[in-house]
Amino acid sequence: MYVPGEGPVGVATISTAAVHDVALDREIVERHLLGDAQAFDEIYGRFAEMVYNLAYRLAGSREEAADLTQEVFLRVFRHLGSFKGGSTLKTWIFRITINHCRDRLSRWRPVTRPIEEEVAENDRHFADPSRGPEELAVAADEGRRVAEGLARLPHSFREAVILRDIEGLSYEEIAEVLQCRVGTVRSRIARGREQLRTLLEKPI
Amino acid sequence: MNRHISDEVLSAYLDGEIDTSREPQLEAHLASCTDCKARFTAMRGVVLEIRRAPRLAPPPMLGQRVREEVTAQGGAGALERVWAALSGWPFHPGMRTVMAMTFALAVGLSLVSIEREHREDLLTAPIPVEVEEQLPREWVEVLPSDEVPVGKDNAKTTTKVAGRVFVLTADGSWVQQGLEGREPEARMDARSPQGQAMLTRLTDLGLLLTDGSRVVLRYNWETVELSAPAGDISAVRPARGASLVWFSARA
Repeated sequence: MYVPGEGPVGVATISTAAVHDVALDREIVERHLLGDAQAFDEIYGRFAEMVYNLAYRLAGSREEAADLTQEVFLRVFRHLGSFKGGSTLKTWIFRITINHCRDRLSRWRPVTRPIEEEVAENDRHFADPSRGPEELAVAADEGRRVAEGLARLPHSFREAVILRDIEGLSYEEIAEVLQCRVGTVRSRIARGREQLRTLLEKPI
Repeated sequence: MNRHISDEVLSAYLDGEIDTSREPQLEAHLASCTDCKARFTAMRGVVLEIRRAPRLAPPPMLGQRVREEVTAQGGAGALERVWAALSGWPFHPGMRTVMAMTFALAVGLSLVSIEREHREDLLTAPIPVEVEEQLPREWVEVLPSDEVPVGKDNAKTTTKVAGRVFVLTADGSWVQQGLEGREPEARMDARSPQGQAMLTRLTDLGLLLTDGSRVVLRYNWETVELSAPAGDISAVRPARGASLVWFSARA
């Protein structure tokens, strides 16, 4: 019988991805601290798309997402020296992004705001060039519906669903980013998906 | 299992975030309970719709803007450090200002020089594969890519990849634990759009595919086999700037 909250048992596991990330993260941060100007550019290259998409999903506007992304990377630059490697750089930067967006968006405007219909604007903005025009058009329409639905979710559910279903983080990584328990993550994702399903069934 | 499955468990099952040993029980219930099956199908539809939403590329000039801001920040930080250092010296205040400004000008010029030097390859430079052994050798041996032996004669068992535990089977396939002996319901080439989409979501799978091994896993409620030609790194290279690490796990 499945018991909610009980994790996988009985297998000794390692995460090769985590090993890799930790080693690469440490090396790049050390280079940055030693004054290697290219190290920060590499950090930007690795994480810019990720930060921009997360900011876009949280802010709902391409322009605000660009501003938020810029501010997040300035924060990263200022605080990189305090990165201790307790988490991966990816989850550390996601955490900065989430916190910065919460702070900025709560001060700047009301919680709900119409999502711009930008996703269909221009194919060149899509990060995935392997998708054909028809597929992109369908995806753009679906993307608009999903974006509008996500914008109506409570913040905590929206963050968890975005981190899981759009950014592809594991529950453990999401718990690190949101600074909460894995059980809480599981609950927020489930409730967010259920609310989104209800929203998507109705005309928005 | 007579009680209905909660949304939370259905959701975690969709994500492969429950113990795979519990999956048969859940699947048996889903096969016999129309209510749970309907809720699961609906939830799966929502998840697929969210995951199909297009990703956006950051504006091309954003990197330049960030660099300019960072350069300005770096200069300001240096100026502050110099000012703090000079504050303790018995100079005339005006002299300290001149010295700090001179230093700031020198830092600015050198940063501009560095920035010009690296402008061409900024943000597009290949990411170095950095491999380090950080775990007990009895569990894992991490090797640089040019030292990885062909085949997996010495490799035996599990590691956690893409949130799942995989087992190397006798025919050289990596099979998600709990799916051993199960016939895949779908087969995908890692180079196909669907395969690439899966690798975008589960970038770690590239680790298992690079030597031509098949990978069998649960994905969107199906048992899926993913494969790529041996040595075709381009087919399986993770999409979001990650690099590949080769490994073998020894008993």
